[in-house]
Amino acid sequence: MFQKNNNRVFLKALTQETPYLRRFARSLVNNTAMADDLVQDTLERAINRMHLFDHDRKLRPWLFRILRNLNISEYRKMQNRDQHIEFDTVSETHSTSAQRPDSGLILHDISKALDELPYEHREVLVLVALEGLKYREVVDVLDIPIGTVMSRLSRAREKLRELLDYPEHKTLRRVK
Amino acid sequence: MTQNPKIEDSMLHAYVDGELDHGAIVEVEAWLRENPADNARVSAWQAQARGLKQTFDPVASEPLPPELAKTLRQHGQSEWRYWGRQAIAASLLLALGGLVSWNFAPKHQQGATGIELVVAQAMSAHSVYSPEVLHPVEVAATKQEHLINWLSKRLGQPLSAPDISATGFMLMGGRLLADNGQPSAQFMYENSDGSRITLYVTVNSTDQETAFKIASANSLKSYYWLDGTLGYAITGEIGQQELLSIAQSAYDQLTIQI
Repeated sequence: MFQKNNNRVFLKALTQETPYLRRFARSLVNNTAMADDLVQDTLERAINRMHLFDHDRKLRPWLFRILRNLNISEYRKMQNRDQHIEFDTVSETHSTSAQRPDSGLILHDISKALDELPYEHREVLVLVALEGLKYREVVDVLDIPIGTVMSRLSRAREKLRELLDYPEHKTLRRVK
Repeated sequence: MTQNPKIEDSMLHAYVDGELDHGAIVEVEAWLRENPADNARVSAWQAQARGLKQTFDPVASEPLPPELAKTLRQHGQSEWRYWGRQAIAASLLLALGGLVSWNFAPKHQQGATGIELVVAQAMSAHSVYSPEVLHPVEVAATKQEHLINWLSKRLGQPLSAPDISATGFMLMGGRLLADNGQPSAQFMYENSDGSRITLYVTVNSTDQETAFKIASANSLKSYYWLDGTLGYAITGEIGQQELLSIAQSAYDQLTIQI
């Protein structure tokens, strides 16, 4: 009875977490349908492994870890393949993407700017800055040392700062 | 100009991410006042975080795509069916006499204040109000919004009246009940034959959640469960299978809200 009840509590919690899984997936994967497929696979894997979940821990980092690992193992390959196809077929119209923002193009769209980040940096940035995970939780989700979390976070932020031109910069850069 | 010790970048990130204690926050803010370049970087990082939230937060408010909702519901229901079978197998039969004495039990013994009390009160309230011809409900379903708001306010948490019209039962309305000094709510539904079933909702004061259970007294049956901060019972004098499917529909809406 206790186990069954736990399962039900788990499913309910999983339902409540699903919108946040979708948000996380979309920040990693540009294609909406592919992001939802990733969430779908995450839900199924989480349900199959719910007996492994320690109920004293927070569910969201556990789910993020599943999603992120699936993304690495299954989806990244497909995404890369699709992107290459896309670039091959529409290379004419994408001439501006050929001159990468390194050459001074300023982006106003953060999702475009995210695409310019190495995937490992992007992942850390969205976990911290979008999903609000604590550094310790990021360590658990990604299974990397805290020092690596910090250096990736720092690089992601500095790269975005080069790429993005938020009006806030100018107003806040005043010297007192 | 800078008498403060140099603040490392990792501290600045930790500041932006809310990882610092009060003392460290004061230190970093003092540094930022003196170091406009770092202040600009910190501001830019904060702006990035706002940009990310503005871009992606709306995703979390979208309704779930049907495939995802289906995955969750299917598993929820297979769980549910399992409990339903268990409940029927256990077939917890209660005599009406026992039911009545339960009603007064908590005054004398604290042990009876759990889920048994929920179903006893639900069945008692059903017996009293469902035969009513003139005043079956206090507030009719035509004023559903008012009804829900009122009862939610009295119970101190958001309630909802599930839509079980697919089973032929339409919401008539609801009323506030008093159970041992605590407010509870009763929603009443009726089908075209004039059969009535009630959904009883009360505050779950036990800290427990339970699987589905069934109680019966003569021809009156009730499916009941505790979920989070509320306890529920679906009660009626109809076939067990029919009541089960109604309870299942209500349960899905009340418990796994998609």
